[in-house]
Amino acid sequence: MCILAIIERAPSYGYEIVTELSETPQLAAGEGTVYPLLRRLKKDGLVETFWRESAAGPPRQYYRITKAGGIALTGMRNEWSSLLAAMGKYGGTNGTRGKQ
Amino acid sequence: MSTLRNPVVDRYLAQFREGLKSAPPEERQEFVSEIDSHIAEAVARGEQIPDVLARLGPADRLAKSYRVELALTSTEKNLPLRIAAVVGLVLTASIPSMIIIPLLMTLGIGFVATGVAMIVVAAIPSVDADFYNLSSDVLNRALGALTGLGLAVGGLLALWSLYLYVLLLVRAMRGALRVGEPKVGAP
Repeated sequence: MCILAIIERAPSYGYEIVTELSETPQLAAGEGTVYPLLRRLKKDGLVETFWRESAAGPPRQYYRITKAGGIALTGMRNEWSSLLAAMGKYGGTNGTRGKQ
Repeated sequence: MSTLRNPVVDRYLAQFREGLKSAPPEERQEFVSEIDSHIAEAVARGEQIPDVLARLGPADRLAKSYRVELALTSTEKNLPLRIAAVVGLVLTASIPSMIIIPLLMTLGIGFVATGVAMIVVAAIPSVDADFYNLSSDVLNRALGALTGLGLAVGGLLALWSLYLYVLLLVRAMRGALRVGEPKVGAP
């Protein structure tokens, strides 16, 4: 879901995605996990790839979200919100009825 | 072979490529190019090669992650096993099916038809409806209609179980064949 969200903002390439994810230690997604996962997203038709030259160094493979990917991301976001709301109800910080 | 022309990176990429033998050649090339690009990018930003490779993890394990994510290992190798599973399923399912399917169908259709007929007869005043040989015609008709309703519901239940049974068979068959999952977004 986080990978899709990053790509949704703008097409991105592996190194950029990995770097951004590593800034959030809770996600704990190393390179060894992210790259295979990206391929899986491509296989599932949620993202598509294209190669583009970089100013310095070898060409980069960019990932771009597809229409199906956008729909999947919306679905995942809705699921997360309802999960968070449900957790909040039982004492989490995000709920409205947590401290009664 | 690698963009950096570094022997350690070369060896890493060669090992990675070796682990992806089961992938289609053009995809395999893309996976390797992408990792190669990643290493070059990281080094260009001042990272040390050993650190970059350490974070990617051992090449064979990285290749295994790809195989797992893309389910590269499950199809062709298991083909004889899958055929055996289907044959076994057909053999074990066909004997009970030969009894269960006709039985449920006969019971279902018979009960529903009889039940409906009884209700219809009970509802038409001009037709003689002496179901229970009772003195009261109204009671005869009421009890007859009730019996008809019971039979019809029983028949519908039998047809419904038949439907569930067929559904179960189809599902088991699909599971054995592992079909019914359309490939989305092939490259």
